[in-house]
Amino acid sequence: MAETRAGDTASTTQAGQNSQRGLAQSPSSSVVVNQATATKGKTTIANGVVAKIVGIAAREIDGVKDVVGSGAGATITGLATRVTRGDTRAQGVSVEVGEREAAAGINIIVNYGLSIPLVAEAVRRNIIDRVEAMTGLTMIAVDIAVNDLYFPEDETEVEHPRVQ
Amino acid sequence: MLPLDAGSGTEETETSTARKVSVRLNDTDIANAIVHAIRDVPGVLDMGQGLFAKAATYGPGKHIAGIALQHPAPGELAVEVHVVLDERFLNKALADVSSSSDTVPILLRFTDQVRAAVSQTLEHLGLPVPLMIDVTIDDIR
Repeated sequence: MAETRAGDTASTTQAGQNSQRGLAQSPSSSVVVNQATATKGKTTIANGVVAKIVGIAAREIDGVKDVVGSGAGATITGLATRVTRGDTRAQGVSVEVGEREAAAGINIIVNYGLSIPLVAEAVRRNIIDRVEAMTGLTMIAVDIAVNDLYFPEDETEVEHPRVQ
Repeated sequence: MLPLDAGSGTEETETSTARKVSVRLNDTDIANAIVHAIRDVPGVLDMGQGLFAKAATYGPGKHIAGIALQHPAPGELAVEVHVVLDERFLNKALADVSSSSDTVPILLRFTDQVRAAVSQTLEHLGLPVPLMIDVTIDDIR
């Protein structure tokens, strides 16, 4: 039962250490969540897991077209991952995971015509809800960058064949 | 009547009778409940789309059009409502207004009813009723 109590541990230990708001960045890429009660084994959550949850949570929101990386490097990486049919769920997401807290940054594309502040707030809320519920970590910051707009009309344009 | 589920939520409400039981509500659930109440107000034909940007409450997998919920501060709620007014209702009210001595303009009376529906629903859910509830009549059809 030790692994299922990760959330309890994170919330109870947090109460006593609320003053330590800074992220305790762990040297490894995964984090021990229930260290305080690690008597019968420990639960570790990798950074990639948090990143994927963040990516999926953002995509769930109506109005978010996609989550993408920014810059030329990320574009090439994204293309390569897509061609090789890799997992693109964590792309465009950066996370910092501490012992009890986490922070995330995300690049999104929003549908044209929507209120970007409202969509961004919904994304932020959903990310916080999902990550906290699934990992027991407390999200202290979710930075959202809207990188591009998507025009739904673009996709409905019919291509006329040259040969009838 | 109210389409509520106690899923992962944002707003916690506590009732005085059962203080240990807290219900967690999603923004989309709150918005849904408010829209149900607004649609029952006489004269409301439909929810509006917003004037310049689409006014809606966004959630996982769905959005509720015509109502924008925002949280200016933790535990606070700001509500913005967009409705489409029924033309027949307006014509009828205009015909009635000449015979009655009521001095409140028809549209203001209408928006007050919408506002009342919103605050009643929020009260019913045990949520704080905001001081300002913005109501916009987007269109008359």
